[in-house]
Amino acid sequence: MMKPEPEPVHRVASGQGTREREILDHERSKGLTGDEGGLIRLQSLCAYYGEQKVLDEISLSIARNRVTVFMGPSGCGKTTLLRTINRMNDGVRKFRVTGQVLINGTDVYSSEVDPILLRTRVGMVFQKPNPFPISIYDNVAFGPRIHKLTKTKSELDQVVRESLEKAALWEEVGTRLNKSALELSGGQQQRLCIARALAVKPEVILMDEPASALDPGSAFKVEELMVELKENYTVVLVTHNMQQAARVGNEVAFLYRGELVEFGPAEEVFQNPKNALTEKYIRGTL
Amino acid sequence: MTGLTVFSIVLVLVPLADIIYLFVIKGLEVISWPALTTITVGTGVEFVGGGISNAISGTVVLMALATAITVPLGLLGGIYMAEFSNNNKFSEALRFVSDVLAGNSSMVVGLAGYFIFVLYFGWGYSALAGALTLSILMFPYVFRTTELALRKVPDDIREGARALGSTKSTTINRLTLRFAMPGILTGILLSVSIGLSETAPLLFTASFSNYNFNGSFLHTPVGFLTYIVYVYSQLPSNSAHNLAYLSSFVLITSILLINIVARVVVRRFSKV
Repeated sequence: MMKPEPEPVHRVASGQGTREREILDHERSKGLTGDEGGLIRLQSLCAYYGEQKVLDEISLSIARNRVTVFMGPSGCGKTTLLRTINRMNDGVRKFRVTGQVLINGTDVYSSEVDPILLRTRVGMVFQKPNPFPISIYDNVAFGPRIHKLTKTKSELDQVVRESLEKAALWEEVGTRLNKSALELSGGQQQRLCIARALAVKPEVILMDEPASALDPGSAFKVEELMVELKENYTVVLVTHNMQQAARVGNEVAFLYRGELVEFGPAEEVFQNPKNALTEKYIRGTL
Repeated sequence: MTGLTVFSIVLVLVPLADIIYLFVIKGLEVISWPALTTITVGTGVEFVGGGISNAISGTVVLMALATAITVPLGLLGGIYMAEFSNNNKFSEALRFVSDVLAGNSSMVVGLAGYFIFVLYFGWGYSALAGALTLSILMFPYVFRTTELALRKVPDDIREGARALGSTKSTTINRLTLRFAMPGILTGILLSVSIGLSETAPLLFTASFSNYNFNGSFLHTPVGFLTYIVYVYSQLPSNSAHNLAYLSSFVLITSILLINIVARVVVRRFSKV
């Protein structure tokens, strides 16, 4: 099976930009170290559940302010791959990882990285909306509160408002922040979960099929939101919905049985897949 | 089918209504401020009269102490079982012991309390011996309901909090416990009701006293309401029977009150 080398991939990922883009990237990376090509770099990443190898030597680079999509059939390892980035599988019995997950040049699995802090920088949105059964306000305020990110009530109010605005939910819920989050519709709940993740001011947002449990209208809104979010965040999306991957993805990684089959710009992957497996998957004959 | 259901309900409700009716009527006949605020005069072998303040104060002390011992232990145990144990060998053993305790005859536990606290520790008949023995009986209810209530909280919530960088203990403190609270409170109140209605273990460990609780937890027998119900109802005098009726009335009313308060509190908690 063909495996792309990480280097050319990264060049493809961030090299198509204009001068403005470069300046922007440079601005954003100020003060950050080791940010050479891609905010997140996976190097020879393998993951195991006990003896079973579920990710096999994955190497790829995820560029800043882009939507990078992991797609593939069920069981291909895309969710596991996503969850290695914020170490959500830590503590899963017999789960282990080899290789590296570098964010800004720091391996998140190295001993000096605190997974708690990591998760404030790498937020996550799940397949099924999982708002806490408390008020809308308290949901968004949860992260800032536990990490003591704000000093005053008005500061917290501000963070809650901004997060809800960024998640395109403020207009719908701004007047009823004290209502239970469970009273919202599924799509609103999912956007609330996005707002909740944004409230701790992450750099990266991992999304695990965030629209698959929603009705088409709500799914569309969440998709729109992903595109908006990449202005300020780096979005990594797992999906098995190819249309969605094509609509929102800048780069697409196709995984099959734990291996990275193809990785490149979305248009290329969908229009001129280099690998026969990718082509088959796109045609729906895999 | 409907007929059968209605019949069964009636079958259950009639005796219940009968009991409540009897004790409410009799209780209201004998209740008076002096009866509630004066101590019992006399003992089982002679004329018994006076009031039941000694039993009320003793019961309050015993229950307060037993609850103070049971609730933290039961809560911590339940949290351990649901959130930390991963169903290991130790937790299986713990659950087994708790189930055995819950299924045990209170008489046996009372006897054990007598041997351990009264004799071996040398505390004599005392509030502490009584309360500890009671708490052995009350513990399984808090322990189990806490575990079950926590297990009912969906894992999505734990995952969501973890993804926000919440530690396990923060998640438990701020989220899971809160949602399990109605269930946990129900368990606590169930255990308090169980404790309130126990007689046998206290006969062995608290004995009985005609005097109000004097502040000493050791070497001093304490009175309690179920004693009066159990012992005085068997004495051949009206004044003794009246004290038994009064005590029953006080017990029933307090259990009823506890349950009403519980419902209100639980409803408050369930609201967001």
